[in-house]
Amino acid sequence: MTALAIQMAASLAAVLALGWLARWIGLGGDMRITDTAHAISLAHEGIYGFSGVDAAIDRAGYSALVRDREGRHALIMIKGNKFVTRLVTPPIEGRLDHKLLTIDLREPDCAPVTLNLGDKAQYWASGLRHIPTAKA
Amino acid sequence: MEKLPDPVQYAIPAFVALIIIEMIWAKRRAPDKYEPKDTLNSLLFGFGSTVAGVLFGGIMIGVAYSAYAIRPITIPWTWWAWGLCFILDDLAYYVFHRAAHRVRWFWASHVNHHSSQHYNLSTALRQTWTGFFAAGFIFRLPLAFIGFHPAMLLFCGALNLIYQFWIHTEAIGRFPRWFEAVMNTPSHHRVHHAVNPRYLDRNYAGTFIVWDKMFGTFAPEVEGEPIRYGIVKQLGSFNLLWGVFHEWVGIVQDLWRAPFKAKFGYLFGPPGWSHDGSRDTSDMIRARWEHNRDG
Repeated sequence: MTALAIQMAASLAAVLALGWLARWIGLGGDMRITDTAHAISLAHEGIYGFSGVDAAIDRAGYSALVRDREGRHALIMIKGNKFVTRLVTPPIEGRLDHKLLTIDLREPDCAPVTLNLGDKAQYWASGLRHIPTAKA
Repeated sequence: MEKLPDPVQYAIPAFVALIIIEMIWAKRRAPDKYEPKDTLNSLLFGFGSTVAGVLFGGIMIGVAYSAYAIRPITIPWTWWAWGLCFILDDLAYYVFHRAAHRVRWFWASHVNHHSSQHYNLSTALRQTWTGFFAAGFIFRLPLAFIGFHPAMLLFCGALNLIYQFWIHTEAIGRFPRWFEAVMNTPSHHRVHHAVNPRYLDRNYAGTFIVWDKMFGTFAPEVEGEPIRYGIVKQLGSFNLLWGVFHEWVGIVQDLWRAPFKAKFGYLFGPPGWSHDGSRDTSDMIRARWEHNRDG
């Protein structure tokens, strides 16, 4: 029993040490959404069949909203150095505060996302009100 | 003859050393191949899986011995039996692995291994905590029932697991054609972890890729098409517990909400199946992709 406990403690120490090493040597990198084409491409990769026609990118480049021809919206969020995409479906929990648009997908693993869209924030907030019911 | 060492225990130092070597390679060539939070997450998955093995492994071994007790024949403890055991165990792994991708009950456990958007050696250690609950070990029971000793099966299964560690890397391109034709390799297994529509539900092999070629589930890695890793609906956070249990939570929610006739489908249908067509299975995604490709 003691040997097992020591083995488990050593395993956990090795896990934490490797996790720390990955950070210490600077792995990961800083990923950003660079432009509209990049955002549209990420939306297509994240939701197969989603063909974006327009996008609004957060000023920091960590998130974006992409709209397709049918008026559906895809929300792109940073996760580590990768991106995660979700279709925004009604009922939508959104909040507009000047240039900041906050969207809460109400999914357990997705925190509310605040996009700094500058002058476009109101336009995109308005677009969210007209989203058609779509596949989850 | 029944007391055998656990080869995985001896392999762990090599696993750690190889991960460090791959991290150094990544630092020099492609730092984005690793993400510290993702790496820690994967390794904690592995640690938790080990704890689950300590807690519940005895049940699996007990069931294997029960199956062995009613065997019609006894397969001897000889060299050819070891070779045969390894090959048949790999076939059993193929069948298990295919079911783990095609049946939501088994997928709920196996999804843990696929939920990273990265593909590196730490991903190999991203193992399930709920494998014993899902009872994936039943796929190996027929081998005990036909007369392979459970200790031999456990040893061969451990060797298979060790083999699969090193193929979780982007640091290796392709091997000579003869090797790629027979063995599971980093190239073949990258395809398996991909979410590109052309690659979904392909290359289930453990050690020998020949099973996929025999049963029509093989897809080669296509040059020029960047692979995206993970699952069709990527996890939105690095929350470990959500990562471990999210598909089980989804099953419970679906069973609660679904009409009676649909409940079986949410439990044993393919991942992504829904009674109202509101979700996509991997077959549906690939069919759309093929339709678009063929014009």
